[in-house]
Amino acid sequence: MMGGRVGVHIRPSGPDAAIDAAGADADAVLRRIAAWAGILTRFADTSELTRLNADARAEVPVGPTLAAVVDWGRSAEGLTGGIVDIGLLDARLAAEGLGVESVAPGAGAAQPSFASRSWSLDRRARGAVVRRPRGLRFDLDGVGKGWLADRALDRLDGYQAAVVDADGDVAIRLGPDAAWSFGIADPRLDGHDLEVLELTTRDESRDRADGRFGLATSGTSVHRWDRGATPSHHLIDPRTRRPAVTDVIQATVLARTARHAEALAKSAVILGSAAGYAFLDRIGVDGAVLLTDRDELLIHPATMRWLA
Amino acid sequence: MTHASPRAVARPVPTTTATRPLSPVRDGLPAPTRKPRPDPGPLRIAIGLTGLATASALMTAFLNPATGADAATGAATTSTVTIVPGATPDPVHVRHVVQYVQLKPGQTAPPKAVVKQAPAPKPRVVVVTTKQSGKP
Repeated sequence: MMGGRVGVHIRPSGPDAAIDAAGADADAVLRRIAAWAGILTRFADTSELTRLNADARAEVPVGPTLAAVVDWGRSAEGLTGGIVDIGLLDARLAAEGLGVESVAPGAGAAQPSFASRSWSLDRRARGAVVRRPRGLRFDLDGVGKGWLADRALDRLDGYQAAVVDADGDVAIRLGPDAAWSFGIADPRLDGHDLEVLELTTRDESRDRADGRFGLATSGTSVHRWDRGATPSHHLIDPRTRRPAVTDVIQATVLARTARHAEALAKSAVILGSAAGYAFLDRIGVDGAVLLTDRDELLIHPATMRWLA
Repeated sequence: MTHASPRAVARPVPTTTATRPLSPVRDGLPAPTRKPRPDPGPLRIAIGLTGLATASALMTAFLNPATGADAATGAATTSTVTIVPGATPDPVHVRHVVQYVQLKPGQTAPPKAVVKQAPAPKPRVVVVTTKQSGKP
């Protein structure tokens, strides 16, 4: 799925028959996710995103799924002060050594360039029309997975607890008196966790009214390429249009939805530990764990009540 | 200030000389025949094989100590001997007491064993891991 893996976990509350039904529902959700991913991926020539990126017209009509994710991309941009920017595909491909390097006007400036604000989305009854300057191409790898996880979870409301894991961006819903444990993978050591969070609706002091959570992890240590003397990775800083220079190796955020958690985790990595931590604190996350290149683990106080 | 330097002292090397008086030769008599001695070869081979067997047994004890129970079959034993390498040359006797054997489906308990039912499984809490995208 969009270059990653997806998992659906369901906890039925009934007898064995409910387990069979849960398996069928999980399969149906997986098929739905595959259909959405087929629209949003940039790794298939036939996807709607690929066709949009290749379209030479200034205005391109798009279907409802692509419109919804691009719309969320715009919202994420506003949420993060422009740090999340879905209009940076060319900069990412340049970082991978797959495209022509582009440098934004005013690169290196302290303020975001907000280059992607040159595009707009005109919502219609069904779908939307995307307007963008010639050559601007979208990258939905990040925002798309969180969106997929949240949308898929909506289809599993009938179960006591359900989790949709879209390649590390996790949407969670816990019914009354439920608990579920989540490991935060340690990027330095396969098979090991930095921490384990136990999300629960059992303890009244830790109760969440709707039982919904989003958990996502972003970092620079997986999609990483060594090009010359400067290591390169996939998280592009919109202020420079180059891979972010950051001391954060990995950031994990617990928020209300997977798409929010993904956008906030990515921003924390790009901003660096000091500014990123302050940003998360200001936004008001439900938890955050940052690993720095000094082997420090910065744990936001909101996280403490979930630590197993 | 002077330092006393070590002196080399030549010490006489002790030597030993073994002498044996020659056997008297009795004129006109044939020289006495020596009593034939047994061939030492087979005995040496036997001693060598015994040493090899001992070394093999010791290595087996080191590398694969016997256990008190054969979990695959459910058969239980109460003691065994394990040789622990260390400063003490004597083998250390370790007594293994089998507290319980978990029976697999189809296995029967050893005679006189007390059989207890396993507790009911607790609700499973699946651990899902959040990680950077693309990480296997």
